[in-house]
Amino acid sequence: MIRVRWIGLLTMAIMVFAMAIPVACRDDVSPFQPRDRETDPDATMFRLTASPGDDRVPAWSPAGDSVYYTAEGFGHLPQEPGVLVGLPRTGGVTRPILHNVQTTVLPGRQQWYAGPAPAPKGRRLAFAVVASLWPSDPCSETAVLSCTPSRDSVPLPPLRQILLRVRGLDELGPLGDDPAVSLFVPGVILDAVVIPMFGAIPRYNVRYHPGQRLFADERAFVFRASWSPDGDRIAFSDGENLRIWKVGDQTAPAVSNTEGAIWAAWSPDGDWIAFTRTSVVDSTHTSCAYLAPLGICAFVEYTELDAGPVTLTLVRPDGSELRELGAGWEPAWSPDGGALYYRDDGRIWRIDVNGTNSPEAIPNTEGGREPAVSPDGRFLAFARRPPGQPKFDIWVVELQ
Amino acid sequence: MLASRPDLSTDCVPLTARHEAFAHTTTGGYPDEPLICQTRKDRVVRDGPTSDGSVVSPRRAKPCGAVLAAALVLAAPVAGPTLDAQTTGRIVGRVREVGTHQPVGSADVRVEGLPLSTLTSDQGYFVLVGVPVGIHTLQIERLGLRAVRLEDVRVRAGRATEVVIDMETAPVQLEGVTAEVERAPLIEPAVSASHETVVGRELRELPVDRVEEAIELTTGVTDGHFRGGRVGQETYRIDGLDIKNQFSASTTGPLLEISPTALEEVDVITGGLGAESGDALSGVVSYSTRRGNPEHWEGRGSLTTDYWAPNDLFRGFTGLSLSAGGPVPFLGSGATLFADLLAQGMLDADPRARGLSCVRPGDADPALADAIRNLADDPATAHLYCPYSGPRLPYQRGDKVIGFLRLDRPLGVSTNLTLTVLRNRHQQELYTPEFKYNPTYQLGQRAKGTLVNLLLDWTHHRQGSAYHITARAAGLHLDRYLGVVDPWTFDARSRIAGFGFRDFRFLGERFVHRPVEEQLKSGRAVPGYQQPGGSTGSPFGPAAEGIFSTEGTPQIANWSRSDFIGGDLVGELLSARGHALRAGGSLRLYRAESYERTLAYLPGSAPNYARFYPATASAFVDASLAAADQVTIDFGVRLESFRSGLSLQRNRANVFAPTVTTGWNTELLPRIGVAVPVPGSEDRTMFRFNYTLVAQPPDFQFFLDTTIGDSLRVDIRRQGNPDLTFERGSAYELGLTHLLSPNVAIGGTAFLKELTNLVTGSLGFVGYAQNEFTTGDFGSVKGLELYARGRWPGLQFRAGYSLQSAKGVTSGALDTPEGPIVESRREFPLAFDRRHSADLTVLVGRAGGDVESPWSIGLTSSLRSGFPLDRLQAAGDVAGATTIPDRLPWTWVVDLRVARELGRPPLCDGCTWRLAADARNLLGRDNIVALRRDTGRLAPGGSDLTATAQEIPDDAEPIPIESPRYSAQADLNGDGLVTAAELRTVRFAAALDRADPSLFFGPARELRLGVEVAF
Repeated sequence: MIRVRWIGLLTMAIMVFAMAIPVACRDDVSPFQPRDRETDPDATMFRLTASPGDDRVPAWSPAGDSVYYTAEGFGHLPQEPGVLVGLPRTGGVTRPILHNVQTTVLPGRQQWYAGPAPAPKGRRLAFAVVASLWPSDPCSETAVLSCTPSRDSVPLPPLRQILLRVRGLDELGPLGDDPAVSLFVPGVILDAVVIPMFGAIPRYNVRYHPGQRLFADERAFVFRASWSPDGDRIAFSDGENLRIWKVGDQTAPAVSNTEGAIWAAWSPDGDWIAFTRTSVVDSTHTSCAYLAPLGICAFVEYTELDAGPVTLTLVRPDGSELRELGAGWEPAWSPDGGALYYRDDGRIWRIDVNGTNSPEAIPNTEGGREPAVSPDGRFLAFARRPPGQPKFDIWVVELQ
Repeated sequence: MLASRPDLSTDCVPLTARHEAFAHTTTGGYPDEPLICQTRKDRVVRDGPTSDGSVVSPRRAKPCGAVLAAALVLAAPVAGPTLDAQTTGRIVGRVREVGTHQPVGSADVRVEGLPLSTLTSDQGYFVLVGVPVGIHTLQIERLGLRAVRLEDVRVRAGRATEVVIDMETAPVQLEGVTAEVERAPLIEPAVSASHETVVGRELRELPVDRVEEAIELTTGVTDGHFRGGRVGQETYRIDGLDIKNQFSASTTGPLLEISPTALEEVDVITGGLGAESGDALSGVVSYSTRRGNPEHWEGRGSLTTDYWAPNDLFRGFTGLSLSAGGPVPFLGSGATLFADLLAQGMLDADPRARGLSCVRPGDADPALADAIRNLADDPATAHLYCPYSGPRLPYQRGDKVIGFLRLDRPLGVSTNLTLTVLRNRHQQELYTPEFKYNPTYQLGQRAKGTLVNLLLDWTHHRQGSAYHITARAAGLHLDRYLGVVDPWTFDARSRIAGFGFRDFRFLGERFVHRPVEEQLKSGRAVPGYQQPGGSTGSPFGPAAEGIFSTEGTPQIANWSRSDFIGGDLVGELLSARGHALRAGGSLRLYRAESYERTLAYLPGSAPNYARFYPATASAFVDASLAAADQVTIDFGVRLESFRSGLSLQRNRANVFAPTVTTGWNTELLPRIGVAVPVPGSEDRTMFRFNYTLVAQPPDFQFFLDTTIGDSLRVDIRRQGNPDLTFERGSAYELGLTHLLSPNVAIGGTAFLKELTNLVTGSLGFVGYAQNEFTTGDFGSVKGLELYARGRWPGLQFRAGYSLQSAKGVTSGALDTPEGPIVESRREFPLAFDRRHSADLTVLVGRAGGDVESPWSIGLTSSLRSGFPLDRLQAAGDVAGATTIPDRLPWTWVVDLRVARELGRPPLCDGCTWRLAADARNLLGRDNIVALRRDTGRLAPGGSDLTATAQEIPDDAEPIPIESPRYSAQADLNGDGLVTAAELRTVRFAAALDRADPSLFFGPARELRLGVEVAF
């Protein structure tokens, strides 16, 4: 009898739970689902940044899922003029690319890193470190400028020295252990004039060339690095010439026949280096002295070169076989090496390297510059200045 | 004396008096009249031998008039000790001959199924002590008289049930007669205390999940406050054992819970506390547990859930209840076992009427209402208004399991051993609006308790008197943890319908249980804790910084453990004439441990930790005299002592300050109570008077430094004081009870309670550190309670109304006084001064005692006025116009439980089953239980919200889309940049959402369905 009861009870319990199980699928109160960042999977254009600071020189991560660029530090980033950062292609939070860099700031010193360039092989990143800039005015504000012929101001070109570094993306060690090459950017030669009774007076021999002017006026990182396909060498511009640095060497020799070359871009097959060649149409020279209350503060021999048209140019890495493709800035190779993307006339264009087709305007790139093509060729990242805004943001469009 | 007692409770009613106000009895002084006894057709008397060896065959009770042998059960308590802490009750009575009313001496009176028997005295009186709480059958036999078998005699804990039995002369052996009764008395002439009793059957039919909900139906008890006393001024007893959470009762409650299905009855005493209960300032709740049926196994199981309900009524409740009891012969003859298990899973452990809500325009002043409408109507900002709402509160998941086991084993004819083990675990998340957008880390609490009680009961019966000695050894362990719930708890722990078999885990729990010296040496934050904050994750993005914590963890880690071992020894001497003497003593040795770290995420932050060994001891003598003319006089005295086991250095700033060594505190507490019938009322009107001096040790937690405990607030700190004295009180009570008719009784009680030496941490005294706990607070409660009881076949009701005024300087040990009264020590209405409260309980059908009815309906309703919102205003001290109400609005709740018997379920011949529907807050009333003190509304002031919004400066750095702080929901124009102007707009909305009034509302409407099987 008791056994029958227990069997019955067990059967009832099973029935009850069988009924309960379907309804027990109801779950906890769902947590709030924030819509802080929404991504439209069908979108063909993404605005990645909107910082009031300058966001420049985009490049693609090796996997093509993120865009690296140089940001002017804000908010959660180091408050530096140039920070190497990256964020997902479809948008997201900007994070520093490298570890253990730009973590401490010495008084009066800036850590200005720019032009991130991921290596085609391995997880390495080349970038430029901008050393302390020349002061625009070598003397105090109380000094009076006197020039022959007359001139209101003789601002010094900003770039003084650049350090090109290569660092592993996962590297945690000190920055000083990384391979690097240093070079002085042409533009200012400092010497001295000895005047009796006054002693040695500094003299700035200035040659203000277009490369310096682009940096001064537009913060154009004309010296951005471009890797050879084998990942052994890096091409870059010192503002006046192309140079090739074999990673690890102490020097980076100039490439012949590349005067006025800026914005180097090594082709995917390694046979060519594309660049923008600047030209000079005129020059003016002025001799100036800064007169301070206690005497002469500095002399400035000031030569300003007026920029002329620019030309999109190809050159072999050894400096041979120059080919001009027409006007264009900031070239970037397509992954197959068959085309170049560049800026001209306030937008991004595409041109076949073999010259078979006429240049093709890339839609939705008005106001864009500094293009970078994703490794799979599907997307184009570029910097764009919104109308009426002084600074650039990073955008991505899907290529047709 | 007994003969003159009226029939106050029996179903046996004289025919001629059925329409009269009072039912005369057949006892002396009243005319003999034929009785009609209620017969219960479905109840079959089981086969069993009679005293003469014959077998009483299955039969039904016969009309008394037909059998001539009258068995009259008064079922009313006679004079005896006041409602004391016992696990057993008494049966007293008198046996007479039918017609002559001559006393029958040397009649054998025994309790069926139990080794309890006695002989009547020469005057026919008898007393049976040590009778387990519940319903019993008496057998009365004497040679030459026809045996009587009296069924359904209800025995209550610590009280006497009176019966008068008339036996018929039978020269030859005849089959005995059977009568039965099962009724609680409508009035209790010999009881001077104020109390209400809920029997186990009612508990199982009432719409309650916890016993506390049934206690709340007692007149004078609201929200855990007994007659206007602070929470913690009551004690809880299980089978006579005091299980008060002496460490933190005033802030965390009793912590130990028992399932309603494990109880035989609950007795709630609110006034006239006996000497044995003199350590409770405001009330005593006495639980009597069930014991196994000695004759056969019986049990029940039920499953109740609301998972079937539509979304608006779905709260995520599921409850499983199993209980069974019966004989365990292998443990000895007469041994019984009872086991009970209650498991509940809850997706919202504290559902509120509006669910997860937000401020509505109607909740706010006109200006804010307009602002809310603008926010809601503007397409650009509409998503910012009430962005997260629903019928259930998030992060209030929890579960509860209560297991109870009781083993009874007779050790001989007069000795019984009882072992009870109670273990429970209650754990749940604690919803906090600051963290409602934090998907990972929430505050939670887990309370575990284990009670082991070993009780030895020795009885000795003589003709007309009895001795009863109870020895008890017990151990109690309470373990409470408050901290951040480890995400594993809900990500990986197995749960069924909200119930998880394993304990909650808390971040860093192992670490905080390590020796404090180790913790301090490590200098670490509590592992897993993170500084709260976050910019995104809420509907308001960076605008909600500092308002919501979407990242990080709550800050507090807090645990306490409190154990005691103790022993009680109580002896009583009773006479069948109603006199009783009861005396005993008790000793408790505690081990208390407390840990609190309020900034647990901060490395180097130090916890407050203490381990100490307090003790309490008490002794009492209680006597009850049944004087002439139904006058009962109770008097007693109690000696109460405690020691903190701690020393203190009062001046913490001076390491050379002297150390004060604490010792024993002792109080002598007299008590007197009188119950007397009003002359001329024919004993239908009874008068009661009580005077009680009570004292209770303060919560042990006040010996220690503390901050506000169960809260995120960490700004209120108090210095502990191990040198605290008793909290004291005196209570006066006058009561009147009147039996309107055999079915209806009414009563009223006026009381005055003066409470002194209450613990406070907010009043300054010379010689004490600022914010040091002292016993310098005081207050008083006066009130009037009216009640009515009614009972008809298949219908019972209890109704009560309480009018009271509770005043005090502060409302609790951690509360601050109102206004500049630190100097004046003025009394204002307490924060829990519930002026009016009315409760109604209606039981219909089977719940009302009609066992033939297939329906069982239990309805409860509570109507209550609101607590003071502003104590000064409530006292009438504020002159001129005020913009806020002085009190909260009234609340009204109706709960209903309806069950339908379905007969025999398939596959189980010996079973019955039924379906039950359980509705809470049937009327769906919001029942506002809190308002903002600054505005007197549910909503904050619009200016406050604007001020919060203005915390965003004009030159605030815009937040670009690539910033981790960016939120599209705060970028109102979608330009990828959250500007200062946008931040201000959104922050206003965030502040409005933070003013989430969800917890300001009463219980939610719920509808559950259940199935119950019994065998």
